[in-house]
Amino acid sequence: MSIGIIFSLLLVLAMLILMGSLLSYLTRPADNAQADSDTLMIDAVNAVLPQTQCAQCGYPGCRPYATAIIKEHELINRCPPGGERTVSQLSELLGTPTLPIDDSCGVEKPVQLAIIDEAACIGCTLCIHACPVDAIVGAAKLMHTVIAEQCTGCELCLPPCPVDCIDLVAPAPTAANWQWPQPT
Amino acid sequence: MLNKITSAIGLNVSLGRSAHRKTAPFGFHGGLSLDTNKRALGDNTELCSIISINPPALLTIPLINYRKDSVAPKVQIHEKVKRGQALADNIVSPVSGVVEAIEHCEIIHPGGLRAPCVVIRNDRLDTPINTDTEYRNNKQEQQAVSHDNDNAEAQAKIAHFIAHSTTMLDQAALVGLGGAGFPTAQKLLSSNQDLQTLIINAAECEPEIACDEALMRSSSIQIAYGISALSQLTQCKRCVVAIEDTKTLAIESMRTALDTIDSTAELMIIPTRYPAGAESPLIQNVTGQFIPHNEKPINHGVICINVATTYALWQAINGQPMDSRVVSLGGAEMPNPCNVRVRFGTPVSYVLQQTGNAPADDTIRIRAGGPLSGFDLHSTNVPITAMTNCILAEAALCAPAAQPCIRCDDCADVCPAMLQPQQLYWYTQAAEHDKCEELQLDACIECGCCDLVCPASIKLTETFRFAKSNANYIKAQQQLADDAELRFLDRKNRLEQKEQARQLAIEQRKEKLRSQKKPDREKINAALNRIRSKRHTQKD
Repeated sequence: MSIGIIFSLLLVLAMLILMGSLLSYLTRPADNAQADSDTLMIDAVNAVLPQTQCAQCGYPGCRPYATAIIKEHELINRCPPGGERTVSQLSELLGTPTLPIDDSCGVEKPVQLAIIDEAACIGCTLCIHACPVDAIVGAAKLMHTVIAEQCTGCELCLPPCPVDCIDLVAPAPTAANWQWPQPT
Repeated sequence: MLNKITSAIGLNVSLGRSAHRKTAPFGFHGGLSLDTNKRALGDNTELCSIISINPPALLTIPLINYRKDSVAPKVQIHEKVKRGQALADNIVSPVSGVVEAIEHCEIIHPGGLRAPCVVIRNDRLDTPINTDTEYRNNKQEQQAVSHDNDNAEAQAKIAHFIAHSTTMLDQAALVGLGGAGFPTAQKLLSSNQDLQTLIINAAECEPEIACDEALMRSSSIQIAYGISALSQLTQCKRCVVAIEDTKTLAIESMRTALDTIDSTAELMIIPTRYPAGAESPLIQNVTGQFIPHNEKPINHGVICINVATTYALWQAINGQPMDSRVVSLGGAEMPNPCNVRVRFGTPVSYVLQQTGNAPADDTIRIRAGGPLSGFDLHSTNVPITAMTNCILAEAALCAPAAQPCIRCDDCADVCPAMLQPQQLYWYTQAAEHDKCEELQLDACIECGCCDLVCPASIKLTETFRFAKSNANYIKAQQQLADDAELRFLDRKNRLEQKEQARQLAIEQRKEKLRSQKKPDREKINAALNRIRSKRHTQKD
């Protein structure tokens, strides 16, 4: 009789183990699904970032920073060009609290545009190689110039210039991008 | 309250629902019956002349299209140009002379912006580009064409135009004279589809603006020929000339002209109600269709052409590209209100001075456009363009301070675009762009009706103008960011490929060196054996 009880208990135990393992197998985290959702989140974060590719966040471009935010839980306040607007959009997207911009990355500035003093330019091509978005044209020993519509104002062309002939200015509004003043 | 506010800005408003009728004109939602106040027409007698002035010594032609994008010039500095010569796509020189400069100049713009312009020094000869055609100055031209009543000759000209429409429209540089400046050729050439109704917009609904009315009274026969050419070109099933019922003399004149040339176009008298001349209310009035704001009327079988554009088309058929327009000078502070034909590129200050309207002092605001849709100019040294239908001189503004919205819904009642201005106001204040898009802020035609009826004096139109331009700005910035990312990725790929190619080249060179260094053991052994065997033979 005792054998019968032990046997039935063992049977129940075995069934429990079987069912438990089945359940855990069915609810296992899917590696592919996780990777897919990460990619989607990286895309979403990247879409919010201003795409200046300025590397002020410490990563080599906007997408690498977006990847770090999702995969390494990097803080969302490391993008001075995006400013508070980007931080609030990111906090809404990720459900994390908003933070003030990290001073160590830089300070929020109004939209700016690089301009080359063409008379002073010696044609060294260093700024062309530094520009992350191919917005400077020119050739060795010939004048360089910034394509105004394509410049993101990232400031990366400033340090390499040996003759210090690049300035950052506020872009003049054009008829196409002018805004009506906000009524008071 | 309503009367108090509106009388403060010099307009007489009567709020009343426009009835939707079952027969044409069908009416449209909202709108207001305003005091038409057409000072430029004088005492409204039959005699209504359009003053013409000599073009100035320097003309400034902005190189921007209707979308406000800059276009590339087709002329160079110091180049001699003739009248009617293309300066850029769909822009012609209004005089003959020399290109003095191509530079940024201030243009008619609410922000006082500068845009690239061609500055032409007038040689006062008006040498035409097309030597086959005799160019006449405006007065002679009008007389000549009205003597030219020979219907057969006119029909022959029209037939010639239909046969060569693409090239002739290309040279004519026609743009809509209603205010938006859309290229007419683009509109007409896109109308190859089955066109049900061609609407000639002669409503001119905004107070003070009377340039089309004056033109209809003085040049109705040319307009009728223009309409005839248009309806033959578009092969429309129906052509309707829509005029507001208060323009009695213009109606009379147009009816006579259309009868004279046996035109099939019908004259539709529509109730005087602002903004009956805007595209969507006009189409509703004439055909009873409501066209959603993001769809083109042409896809619904309708196109609208301004009546002054048909006149310009007739001039173009007679060899004169579009290079001038009639401008109404009005407003309470305009000493000598009138309609004046002005070459494009003429400075506003020159027009005012030539017509005896130079502002007496600095307190007078000079505005471009009508009292509702217009804006104050930063400077009067800005050139008239095809879009400038009216110049107003008004006293300094004392707008009543805005009060909180009481949700009376009057603004929604008068909105011709059938929007909910009070809700849009809340969402624009909160910068909720998604909600604004949902409520179709884009469909706002900025007619100003909601401002006039708001008992709280809220500047709704200004708010919507700001919100629309802000939304466009944000969209444009997003587009720039997307483009920047693509260029960044392209660059990254390019640099990676370059690096891979470099590594590959290094590997290949190493491999080559390695293979060269490898000594051929067999040859060496063979040589050694040969030497050894030689030595052996020598010893032996």
